[in-house]
Amino acid sequence: MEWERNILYGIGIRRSPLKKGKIWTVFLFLLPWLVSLVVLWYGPIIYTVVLSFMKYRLIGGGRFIGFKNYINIFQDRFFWLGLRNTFSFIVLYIPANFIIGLFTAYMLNLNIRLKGLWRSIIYVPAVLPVIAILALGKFIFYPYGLVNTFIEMIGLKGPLWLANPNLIIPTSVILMVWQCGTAMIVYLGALQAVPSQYYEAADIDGLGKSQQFFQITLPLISPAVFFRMIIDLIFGLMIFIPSLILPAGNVPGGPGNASLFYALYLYEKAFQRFNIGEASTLATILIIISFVITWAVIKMSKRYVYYEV
Amino acid sequence: MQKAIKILVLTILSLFIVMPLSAGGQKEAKEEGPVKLSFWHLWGGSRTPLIKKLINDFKADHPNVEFEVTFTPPNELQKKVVQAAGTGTLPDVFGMHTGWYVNLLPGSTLLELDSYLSKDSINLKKILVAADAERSYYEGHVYSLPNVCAGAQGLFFYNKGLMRKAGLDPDKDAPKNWDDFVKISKILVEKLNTPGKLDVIAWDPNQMAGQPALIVFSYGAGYPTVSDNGKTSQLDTPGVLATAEKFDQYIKDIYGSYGGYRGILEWNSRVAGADTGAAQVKAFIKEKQVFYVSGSWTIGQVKSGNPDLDLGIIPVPGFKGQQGGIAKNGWSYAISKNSKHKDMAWEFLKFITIDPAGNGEFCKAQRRPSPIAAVNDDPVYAAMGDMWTNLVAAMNMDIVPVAPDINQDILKPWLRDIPARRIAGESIDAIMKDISKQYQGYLNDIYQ
Repeated sequence: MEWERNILYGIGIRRSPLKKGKIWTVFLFLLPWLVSLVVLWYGPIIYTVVLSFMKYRLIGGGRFIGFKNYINIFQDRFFWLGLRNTFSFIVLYIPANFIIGLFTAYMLNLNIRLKGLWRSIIYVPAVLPVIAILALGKFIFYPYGLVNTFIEMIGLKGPLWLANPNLIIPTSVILMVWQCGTAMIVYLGALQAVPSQYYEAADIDGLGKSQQFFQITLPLISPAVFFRMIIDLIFGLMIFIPSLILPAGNVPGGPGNASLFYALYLYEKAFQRFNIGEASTLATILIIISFVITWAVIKMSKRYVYYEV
Repeated sequence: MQKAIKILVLTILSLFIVMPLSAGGQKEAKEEGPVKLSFWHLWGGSRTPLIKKLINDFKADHPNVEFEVTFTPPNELQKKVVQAAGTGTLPDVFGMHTGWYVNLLPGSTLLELDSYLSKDSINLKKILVAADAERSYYEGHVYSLPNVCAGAQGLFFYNKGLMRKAGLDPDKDAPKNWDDFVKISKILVEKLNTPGKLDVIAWDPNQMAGQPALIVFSYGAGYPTVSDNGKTSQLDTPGVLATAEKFDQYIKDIYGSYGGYRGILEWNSRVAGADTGAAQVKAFIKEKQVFYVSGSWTIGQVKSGNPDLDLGIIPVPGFKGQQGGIAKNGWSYAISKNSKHKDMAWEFLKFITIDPAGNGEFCKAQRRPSPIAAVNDDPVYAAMGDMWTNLVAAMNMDIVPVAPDINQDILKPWLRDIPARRIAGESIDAIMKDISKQYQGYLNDIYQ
């Protein structure tokens, strides 16, 4: 059957597909994974959606209340504030991670000395726990931290990075981009996969380096850029830890709620206020937002991503 | 291939069958062995050896008891306890704050202790400090017993040495009301710093090592921050706003020439090292801060951090004169309703709460008042001199708010955020009104 062949082809069995009916053997071996997918992934998602229609507390159970949680959430200014802050982070984080990740990958793809060492140095922060990066970053951006000490050395007064509502998200982005090593590895792999003949032909045609980058390199690594964009987008929607660690005074979401990210508000609803019903509503809305944005990006990608060389 | 499939199917099926059986087997084995009590507590750091001693002392009299002890920091404990209560997995004995009763639905999750108390002829009101006896009850029943005294949460600690250094008499000039305090703060900051460089501060009203100063001073002035039934925030009422404005004015008057709020933030990063309530005590220990408001639990911390520091304790110099500590809720221990060893859990609970040989020693070792009234007459406390006398005076001056304790963990970060918001240009009134709205949102969730 056509669909059987497609599935087998999809999972890598290309040369000797199993006979008709043997597909169940494959499914049987896939069963443990499928069971865990349903039980540990789809199950909790469905349960969360169900809870979003309930007034539910951890102790004492719950009851169905229709769309009341949704109405409450849409009338809650912190829901909108959380969304705004999260998207502010995403709007800064995705381009920053792309530019710095690609720039470092590009540099490391050149013929430079101690290439392996440089790659390791740039990649190391990516394997450190985010919390360690942020704890260190907090000291760097303190009023008397490393950054302000340098600024003072040139005779200026440094800003309050962690106490200024306008600077807390950019500071979070700077520290999160510190972990651009993962993006760098992806881009480096993509850059190395670009056939050198293209550049040779471009040299003969007299194309400059910047033209080569925009007309050859970027289109050919666009699948990698697209992949990173989806990953960064999902990461951005779930961003949470910087708002717990960074703000001055250890104020989660501070200063002045400027870093109250959506996921932080969801966490507070569930585990500080124990309002599981509304927390589930926030989670359900986040799932829908993630799905819609990812779908839109995939749709748009058809115009900008080139899969064939 | 068919044989392989059969083997795979049989293996999976047998796993499904064997797993529950083996779990049941373990359960039976547990009950056959010695009594094993699970115990969650919140006393880390210098208190860890004291907890170990408590357990060992109890085990000496009950050799058949084994413990499974888990330490959880206080700020993590509520989440853990409520989740465990919701899933029926509370340990036999666990630490809790009596302010959490509303989240725990005690009737369905905690063991009611009334019958145990009457069986052992224990009258809590006779043996405990009044405020601690009172907070053990919820809706007329006892569900927990106090672990530490909650009667001395709002004390004013000060460094007598720094007072002398600034030319003040630490006893005579110890502030007795707010106006005194502002005057003395001005002298201290002026004398202990060089112009333009803030090295030693008098006090920071937005830092808090225990009860937020805003609550302490507001209650003292007769303005509760939450309604009697605990369901309505009063953080935006005129009395509480007036307290916030006085604190705001204090920052301007005392630290204006050092950059005001920004100066304090910079001082924090330079001196205290981290901007939390604990940092305030750290700065005090380093002798970079003259006053702080906190509970009696920090006495041991200060004494071990800087044995040479000449520590003074006075009642809070409130707007209407001296006021005592706020006592309503505090740390206690409770027993899970699902405990399999209720009698042994009760024996242990008594030891770590109302037994002078257990909890009494735990408190004495820290030089903090005990909820067991008789323990506080011990000579070890008298040896603390006027510090203890003043502390007892503050405790006896109790202002006990009738309302349930405002949830500090929720409110504190918002209050600590005031300096950043003031620097960003928000007015103190607008900030307080916003905090009140946020707090009301929290109360709505809790009491939904």
